Amino acid sequence: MGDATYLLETRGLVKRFGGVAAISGVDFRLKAGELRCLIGPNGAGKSTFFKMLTAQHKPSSGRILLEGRDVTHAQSHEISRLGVGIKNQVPDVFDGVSVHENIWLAARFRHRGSKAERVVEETLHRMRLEELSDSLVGELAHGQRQWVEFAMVMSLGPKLVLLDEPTAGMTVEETDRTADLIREANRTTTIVVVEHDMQFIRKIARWVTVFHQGQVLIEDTMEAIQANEQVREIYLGKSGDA
Amino acid sequence: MLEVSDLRSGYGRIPILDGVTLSIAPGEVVGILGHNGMGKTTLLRTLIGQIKATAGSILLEGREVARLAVHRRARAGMGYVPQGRDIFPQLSVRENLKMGEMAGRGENALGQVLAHFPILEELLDRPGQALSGGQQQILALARCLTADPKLILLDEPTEGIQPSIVDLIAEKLIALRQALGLTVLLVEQDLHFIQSLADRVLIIQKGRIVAEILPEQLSDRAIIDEYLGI
Amino acid sequence: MSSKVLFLGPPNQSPKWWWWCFIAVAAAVGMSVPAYTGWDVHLDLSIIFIFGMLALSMGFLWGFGGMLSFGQTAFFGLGGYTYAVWGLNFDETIFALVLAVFLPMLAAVVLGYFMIYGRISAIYFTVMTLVVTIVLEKAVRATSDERFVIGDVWLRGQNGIPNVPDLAIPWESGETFFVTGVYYVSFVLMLLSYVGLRLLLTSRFGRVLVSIRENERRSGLLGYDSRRYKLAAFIIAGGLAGLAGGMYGVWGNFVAPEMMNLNSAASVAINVIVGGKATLVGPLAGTGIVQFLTAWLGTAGVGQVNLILGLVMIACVMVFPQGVLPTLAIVATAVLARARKATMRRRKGVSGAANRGLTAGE
Repeated sequence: MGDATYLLETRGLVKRFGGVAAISGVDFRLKAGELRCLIGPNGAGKSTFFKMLTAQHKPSSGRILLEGRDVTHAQSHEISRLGVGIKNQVPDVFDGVSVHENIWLAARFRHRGSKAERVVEETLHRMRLEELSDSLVGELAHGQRQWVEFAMVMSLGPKLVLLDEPTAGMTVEETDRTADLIREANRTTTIVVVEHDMQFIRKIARWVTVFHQGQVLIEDTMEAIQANEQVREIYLGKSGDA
Repeated sequence: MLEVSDLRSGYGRIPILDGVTLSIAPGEVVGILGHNGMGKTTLLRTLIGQIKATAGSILLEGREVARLAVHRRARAGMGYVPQGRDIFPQLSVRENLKMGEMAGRGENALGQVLAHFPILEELLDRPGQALSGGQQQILALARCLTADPKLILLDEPTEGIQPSIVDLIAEKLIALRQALGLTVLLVEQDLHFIQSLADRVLIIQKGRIVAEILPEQLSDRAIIDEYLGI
Repeated sequence: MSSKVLFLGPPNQSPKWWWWCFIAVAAAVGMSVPAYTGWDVHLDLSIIFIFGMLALSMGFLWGFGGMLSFGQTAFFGLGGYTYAVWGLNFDETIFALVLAVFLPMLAAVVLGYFMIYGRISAIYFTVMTLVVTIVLEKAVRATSDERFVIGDVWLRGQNGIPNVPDLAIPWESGETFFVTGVYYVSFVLMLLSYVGLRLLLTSRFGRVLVSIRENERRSGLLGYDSRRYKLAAFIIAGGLAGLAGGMYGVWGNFVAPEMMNLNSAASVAINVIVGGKATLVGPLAGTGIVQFLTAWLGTAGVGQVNLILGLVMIACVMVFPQGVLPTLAIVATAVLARARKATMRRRKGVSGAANRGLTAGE
């Protein structure tokens, strides 16, 4: 039996591709209600880590525990059914149907008929997508499609939402709105975000985990991370002066 | 030398460059600083033509090249040293350099280039994949130069290279710059490297150039915090 | 495809009133045709309805399930042979027709399970379905020897089984459906299949199926097990193709391996492509168009009918990539939109004041 104080936990998680260890032993702990950001330079392993949490990669060794329950070998749809919402970097939405239909399909998985409809309405309102309700998702701008996908994930009423680079390809304005949406979502759901955009992370982050060369380098508040010399070095190189 | 106006591009449906405008005078070295995902590599790939621009213009010495195919831009004088070197692993050092020479205009370019990179003299017959990261970077640079380009697009030359070689490459570039009057657009994350080479530094954020600073200002923590977040 | 294309609304919505009117009118027309026409027309139309159902099974699976199957003719053949063998053995044609639906469904469960749960990629799925139908054809062809007998029925290999019994009328014992009767039965079955599938698409099952076709990964990430839905769609399509096969036996009193050969498989595909896979009515219309064209070309004395058909299909794919009907609908929508814009401009005057004009595909 696992320790149930943490919503999500990994123990000694390792992922090898051929002879190379992309993740070489990560112990990660997430409490309910957190808004956690995963950062790190290219190749640090945060995407690989994320993909293992979402069952898109199978861990080479180690364990993943969701509310104390071992989900190391679960499939993606099983993880989703356990209450984890997953949003990958490239929008995975249903292009050929409307925004409303997209969210309905998500809501309908958990609720029947009229309750599903109500959840759809609530989600459209909360995610500020009411105006776009009848639009064909395939015709929306990239940022809007990202929001639709986020709304779909939220309408499942998940305990935990995993977001991979939600602001990739977004303009600055779209990024700001995404920050608002995430903070709003955090009122009811625990959120983990993998990101590169430092400005964005500054707006939303409460606790930040920094990855480096397949391991966790440090976990702290954003202010502390920004001041940390080691972190600055891995991002900006050895600047003798700064 | 180079004038870019309101350049936009992306990968499929995902827009990355959101209107980039910049210009480079002949003989200048301009640095572009920004974190991953901000559009640095996308910018260079759009300039060289690997990614199609969806809007905007690219003027190379006054000539519009935004609609030209990659090889045409190369012949027009654009040289590209991509992230990760991209040398031909199965070909020898000499053959790699010859490929560059064939694309360019000089006949004895190979000899001239080797004069600048004596390290490669000993490695001439070694296959590309047998070289270390640093050696590959030098080879990539040399190969680019054999084509005698007017403008060099350099993408994160220090990535994955050990610090001692990084210093070597920086020195080399400074020397070459003086000797050959190179015009370079340098994309980097390493502050020190950019500082030592660039005349001006542009900060890229979410597909746009948001600031232009002097290399000295890179030592200022406040500036870094403001524009880079870290 | 624009969001507001006439008649091509997203399938998940319940059909509008005018659709029901269309069905009522179609039913009325269909049922009254025999009064004004002769047996030859009844025969010709019946086979169109029957091939239409076969095309519908493929179109449904492809357009709404996202699975391109060249093997619906395998279930078509199975259905036909099941009807023939059972009917001839037990003189029980109604149950034979029911079995003609269920036996292919059973085969679909087995075949589908291996392909879908085995996560065979799309292209291999298509190839395998084609292979299955051809292998089945070859297997049946090889049964010409006298020892290949099921019960009292000799399979007779490439000669096919003759004297397949007529379908008994359930409410008049001893009587069977003759030519006109067969017309009515095939028409009603086709209409019911069409309406049934249309309504299925508005159900939760149908909507999830479409979402899987749109983006299987996202569907999985929402929690839907895509394999179950795809297998169910495959079974339904198999059953429909089997029904068509059984009716084919009823129609011609004859079943043969040709039902499952490459030619048949190709012609189903042609019917669907010409009519368009984006709608349910597309495959039906496509079948009608192609059959009519074939008959007309035949009577016009054109020798190489297949060649012409091939050229027609190429032309269709190039000019109407989404099928004839959807393209007509899109054209109609565009024309209507322009007409509407012109009217609005005339009403409001060209003042440049806030023109909140409606455009198609907003």
